[in-house]
Amino acid sequence: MKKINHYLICFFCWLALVISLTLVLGVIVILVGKGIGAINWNFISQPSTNFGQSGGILYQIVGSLLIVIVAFLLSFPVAIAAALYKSEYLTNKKWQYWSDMMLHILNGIPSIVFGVFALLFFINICGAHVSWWLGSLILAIMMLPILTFSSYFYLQRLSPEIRDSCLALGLTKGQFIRSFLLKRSFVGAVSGSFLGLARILGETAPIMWVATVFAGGAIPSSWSEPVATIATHILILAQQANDPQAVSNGWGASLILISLVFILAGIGFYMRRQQLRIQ
Amino acid sequence: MLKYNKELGLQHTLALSFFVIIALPVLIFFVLLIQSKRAFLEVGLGLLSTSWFPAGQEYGILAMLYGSAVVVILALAIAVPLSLLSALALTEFVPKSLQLTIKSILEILAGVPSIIYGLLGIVILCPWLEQVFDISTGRTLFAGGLLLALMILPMMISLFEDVFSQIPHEFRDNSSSLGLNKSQIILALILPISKYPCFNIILLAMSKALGETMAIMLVIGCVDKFPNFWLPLSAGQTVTSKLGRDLGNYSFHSIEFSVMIAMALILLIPTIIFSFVLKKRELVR
Amino acid sequence: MKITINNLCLKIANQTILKNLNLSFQQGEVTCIVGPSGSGKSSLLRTLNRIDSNKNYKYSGDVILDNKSIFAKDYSLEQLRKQVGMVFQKPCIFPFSITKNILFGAKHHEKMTAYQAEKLVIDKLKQVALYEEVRDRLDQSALELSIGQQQRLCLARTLAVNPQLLLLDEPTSALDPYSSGALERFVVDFKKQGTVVFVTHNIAQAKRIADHVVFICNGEVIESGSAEKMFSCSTTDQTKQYLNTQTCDC
Repeated sequence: MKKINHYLICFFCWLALVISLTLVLGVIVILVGKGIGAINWNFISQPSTNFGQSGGILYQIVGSLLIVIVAFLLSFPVAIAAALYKSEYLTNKKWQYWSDMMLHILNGIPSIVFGVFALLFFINICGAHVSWWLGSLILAIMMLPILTFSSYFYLQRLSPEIRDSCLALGLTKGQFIRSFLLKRSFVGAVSGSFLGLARILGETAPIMWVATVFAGGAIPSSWSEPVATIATHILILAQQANDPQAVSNGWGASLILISLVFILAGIGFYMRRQQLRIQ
Repeated sequence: MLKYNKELGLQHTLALSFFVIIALPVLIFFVLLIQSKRAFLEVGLGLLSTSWFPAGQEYGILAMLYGSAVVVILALAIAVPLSLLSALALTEFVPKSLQLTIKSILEILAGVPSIIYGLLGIVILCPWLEQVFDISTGRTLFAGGLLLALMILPMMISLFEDVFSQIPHEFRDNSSSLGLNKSQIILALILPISKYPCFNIILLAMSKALGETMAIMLVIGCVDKFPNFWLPLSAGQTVTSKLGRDLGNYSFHSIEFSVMIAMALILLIPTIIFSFVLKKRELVR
Repeated sequence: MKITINNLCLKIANQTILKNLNLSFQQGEVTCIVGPSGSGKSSLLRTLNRIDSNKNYKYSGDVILDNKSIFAKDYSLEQLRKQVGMVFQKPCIFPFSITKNILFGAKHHEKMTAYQAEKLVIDKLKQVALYEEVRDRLDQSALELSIGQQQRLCLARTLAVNPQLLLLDEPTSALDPYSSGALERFVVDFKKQGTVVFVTHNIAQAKRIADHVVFICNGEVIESGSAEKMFSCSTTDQTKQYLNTQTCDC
């Protein structure tokens, strides 16, 4: 009886693992298999035409990179500054707890709610037009918690002895921050940056009403123009699921998107592991 | 004098960034609240009706709430046992070197963008469901649940694996010395010790599943009606899918728009509560 | 119960840990295994209850327990560990109540009524001289006990399974004198019902309780024999040096 139980449990555990890995890796295999056929030099270097049914995704690739890089540039300094403040100036335990809580809440808000907020706040309340940099703005807001936590935890791991010796040398807090901690907070934020970038690269919902349009998106040449991104392009193609060419392009675009995301995520996780080993 | 100004200046700049970030969730909440005020005041309890028919002035969102609940419950019912057992297999049965490789792969795969799952769902999953169950369209709540389960699976396995790995190996050695075999150790030691963090993981997965939009939107069928048969094999609608599809269709000043914002608020509140509860549980532990 | 070790060699990842061990442990006697750190004493113990059934561990030679080789393919590991109990150097308490800790192993081997279980717990606690100290908090978490109490609890937990051979891996190294004394008294008492193999760095302790002494250095048995013989007229210089000064030129 005991033996049977033992074998059953072992069997189900292994079965579950095999099923899970098959499903998860199967996703990748399907993507690579179906996407690789659609990718060629033209695909990457040509703009799309005819609602994406023909042509390539050049504008989308450029658009994605554009809003993501600008989002990063917007959120990085704010996150570093907030992490430094939380780590160095915030002594009240209640404030620490509640600021942690606010960051966690911000991190957990669904993407679609960010999209709704962006629509309401930027376009309806502030009166802006659909522009590419609004996409960067909302994506920057989404990136803030990851960056702030990443930087903050790295700052916290600084040994108190180093802190005390610097202050004992007569440095003021400001000098200490400028000369020593700033660099450290940067380093801490780097792994979070890659992970954050990997996340926002694939986002569609937050930017779908404020930065992109259903058709005709090109590389923006001024501030108040919309942008096309790989993720929203996949959405457009997915909605034409009856047309095989659109679907094929969809696989191609997905493969490119997922490659970028994996490279960024891989770098991010690798750096986080390295950080956990070194002080 | 100048040095002090510099000091204060730095502190205030840093403080400004800090407080801006802290204020953001509050801002988001209040913007949604204000824009949905009209819906709550004018439609009120009418929101809880099952029929969404703006032309006839019916703004019931119960069908969407039901759809969200069904899809999340279905996803958890599939993903929780699957991921729990897989994580047990990883920590208890798989050799160490392979375990690390698989874990790294799972961590990275947890970052696949949801739109890609949407494409997969609409092009592969739905036609497959049509074949298997002999139905006219695969775009159903069931497809949504399956897809959602697939989406949260890698993350859950990875998190469960973290929990089980953190149990020191001395515990297992001591249990083995008392004559227990591996499955007895799992049932008598590993699972009871991990109850609390495992429940946290399930809460986290629930929160993530609730907010999922892109994938669900494409495979759910987008029918704003309460499903006729209480079976998941019918098309339906979730809160997120409705927002994603139709928010752009309503003009800003219309009452439909306000009702949609009310839905977004109703979506936001549980995710805030989940974040709050999770943070509290991690501290109390 | 009779245990014989014949030409046992142990290799872990191509490093030889034990070389050609030939020993036997007598029923009803306490054998102390002494030797410098890293000489393979713990590995020997772990071989006896096969706690490291790992693919990297390569055994040759044999260990015969009651006329059966413990390395035989059909030998049940669970049965082995029921007969051969082990207490580790560092006490490892499960995050359950005291009662649940003690019954942890015993529950899996036989069905007990609640009354029998309670009696078993009290019995074993008395056997390790812990009962008086914890009698009014048996249902509280065992994590609140001191290290000495935890180690005795681990011992009670092992005893609840009713082993005939007890393997103790430096069990008093982290304990205060009172707990050490209690444990030593227990070992002497246990001789009536079983055999004890005791690894220790403390030569004075070995003098107090050992019937037999085995001196292991670099994975080999340098000398073994009855306690009186080893402590008064051991044959090799190495043994003499170790037993007197606790240094070894190996």
